[in-house]
Amino acid sequence: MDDRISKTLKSWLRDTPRLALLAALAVVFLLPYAWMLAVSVKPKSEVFSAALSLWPATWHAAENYGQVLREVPVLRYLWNGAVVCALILAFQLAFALPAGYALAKLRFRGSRTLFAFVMLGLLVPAHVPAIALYIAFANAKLLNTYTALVAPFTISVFAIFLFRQFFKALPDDLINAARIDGMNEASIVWRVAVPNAWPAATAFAIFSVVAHWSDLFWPLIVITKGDLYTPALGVLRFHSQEAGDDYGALMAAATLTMAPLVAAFLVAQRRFIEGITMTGIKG
Amino acid sequence: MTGISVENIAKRFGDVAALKGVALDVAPGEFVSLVGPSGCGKTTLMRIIAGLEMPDAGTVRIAERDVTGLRAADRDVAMVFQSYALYPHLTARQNMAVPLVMRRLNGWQRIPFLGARLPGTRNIVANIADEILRTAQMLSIEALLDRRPGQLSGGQRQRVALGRAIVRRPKAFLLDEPLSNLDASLRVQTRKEIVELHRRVGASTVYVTHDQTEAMTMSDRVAVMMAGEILQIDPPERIYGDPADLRVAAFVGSPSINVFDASVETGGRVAVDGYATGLATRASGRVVFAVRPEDLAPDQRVGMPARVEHIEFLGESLLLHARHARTGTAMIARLDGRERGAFAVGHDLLLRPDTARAFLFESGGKRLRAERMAQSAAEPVHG
Ligand SMILES: Nc1ncnc2c1ncn2[C@@H]1O[C@H](COP(=O)(O)OP(=O)(O)OP(=O)(O)O)[C@@H](O)[C@H]1O
Ligand SMILES: [Mg+2]
Repeated sequence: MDDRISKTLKSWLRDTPRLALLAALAVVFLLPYAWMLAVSVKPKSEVFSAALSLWPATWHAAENYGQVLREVPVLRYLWNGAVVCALILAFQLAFALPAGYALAKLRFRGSRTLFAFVMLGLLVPAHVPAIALYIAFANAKLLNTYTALVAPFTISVFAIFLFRQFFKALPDDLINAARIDGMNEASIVWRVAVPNAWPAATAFAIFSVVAHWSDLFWPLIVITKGDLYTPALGVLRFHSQEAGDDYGALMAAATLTMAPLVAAFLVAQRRFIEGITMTGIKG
Repeated sequence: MTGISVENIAKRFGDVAALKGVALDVAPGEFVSLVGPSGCGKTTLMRIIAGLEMPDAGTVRIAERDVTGLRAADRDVAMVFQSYALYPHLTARQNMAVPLVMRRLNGWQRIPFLGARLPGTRNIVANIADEILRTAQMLSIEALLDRRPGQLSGGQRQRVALGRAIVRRPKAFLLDEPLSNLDASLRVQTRKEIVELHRRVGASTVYVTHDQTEAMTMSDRVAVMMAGEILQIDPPERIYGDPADLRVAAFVGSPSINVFDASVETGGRVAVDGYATGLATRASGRVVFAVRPEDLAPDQRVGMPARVEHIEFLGESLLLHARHARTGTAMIARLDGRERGAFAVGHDLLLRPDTARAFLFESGGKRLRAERMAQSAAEPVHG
């Protein structure tokens, strides 16, 4: 018994430096969010006080959050954000999964060239084609539409690349077995490849949703009408308006914007881990 | 009537000619093994029969139907892969259901939830469940049906893979080294089970292996393949006892057949370094004289002079490794295990081949058929 205890103690001691380092890093990463939360419940006077404290002296949550909910249609923005992110992700997966499969497992002329283009596409930052896309949407009279928010992101070269790498690891025999069992290539993608690509799909979904939920750049360019504002644009309404920066309300808005994302992540994380343990691909 | 029939199949991969005009006919219900050394094109031929690979030339027929241009999905074949290739995300039951579901339900009926409400789906699904259960009972894997492949042992996975292949009663059944991932005792057991299974299911079967014991014990006929060609297709006893090519003779049998460089002398008599073998041929020049280890025995009066180098005692038998005293050719004789005490390393003795069971080959490897008529005439002279 004593032996057991000293053993756990030893392993604790051995793990301590590692845990301490991880904890420190976690604090560094969490601090801005903690600060955001703290400021969102503080009155204006406290935000700029010299004393750095996370806990507010006077509780100002109701005022800050109330102001946000009163002044801007937060729910509308969250809804816009959800629609845009869902559409983008759906299209990205619908295109990238079959494309990744084709590049990984099918032999056809030009597949290497196509993959080279995908790699090239990875090198182009999103900002480069922005002006051209803006002009195109303007000419097509599509500014201030969901289409303008969604269309430029429907094909993600990163997703194609990611899925291609993931599908490459699927054994060829598995695909061949599916063919012999009577599946066509489309069935193979959805019935064999995708169910075994959960970890990659979930990881990509998190990446995609986070990126587009908090994307400010593109919505700022194509959206000028309030009722199509995305959450990120909504937060901006409390910034540098004639009233000056209202940090309490700004952070309250930011918190409200972040909340669904964090919730979604916590749910997805579960699946993510499940996905990894489920994928016992090795025959 | 044929089960599987391939004609003149050729296939190149870049510079490598993997198959050079292969022909193979498998009768309905016949079990044919395909053996050969690694890289000789066995898997390639299987993949072409299955429709996973397109041949450069030649035709493939399954149950009298030309399927050369058809995709794997449209040929009625089942295949068991060396790696089993079970769907890792599905249970054993679902794995076995896939080929039936894909064939019997249409696209609409396969849609999750919705499909189950369409007319007819329920009946088909019930039938499928029934057939899976029956197949599972045949393989004694009922208890494993709700496990995923990751939760099964190698042998169990192999059974599920067999089940997935036979559940839909295919016309042609292809197995590519299905036992190579099993341990020795399980392999022997599964070997028997596959043969029994084949008897019950009765599909034309092509079984790839590079284990000659498997091929010899399981098959109706064995096809020996080398460097992209089938050298001989015959029942096991003829493959062993009447090889058409030196490479077949050398590949089949363990330990390998003894091979001697021989010359054709006056009257067509074949001699190995002066020893008259008792065989004769119409060919001239150099030939190859071959005799299996069990057909080589010590003799008091005549034989090839040899020195014993090593003795392997196997219980019921005894392997005498020796070397020809003059040419240095290695030879092995299989003797009765009870004679163990009679030999010692370093002994000189005469080893005499059983002429009736020895073979002659051209130096190119082709079997020479002339020996029999000369045999009886030749023997007494050199007694
Ligand atoms: N996809 C491919 N690309 C290029 N060469 C290939 C390909 N598949 C097979 N080959 C070549 O074709 C030849 C036959 O291969 P195959 O897989 O049919 O051999 P095998 O008899 O099944 O061997 P083993 O007993 O090792 O499985 C080999 O030389 C191999 O290198
Ligand atoms: Mg092979």
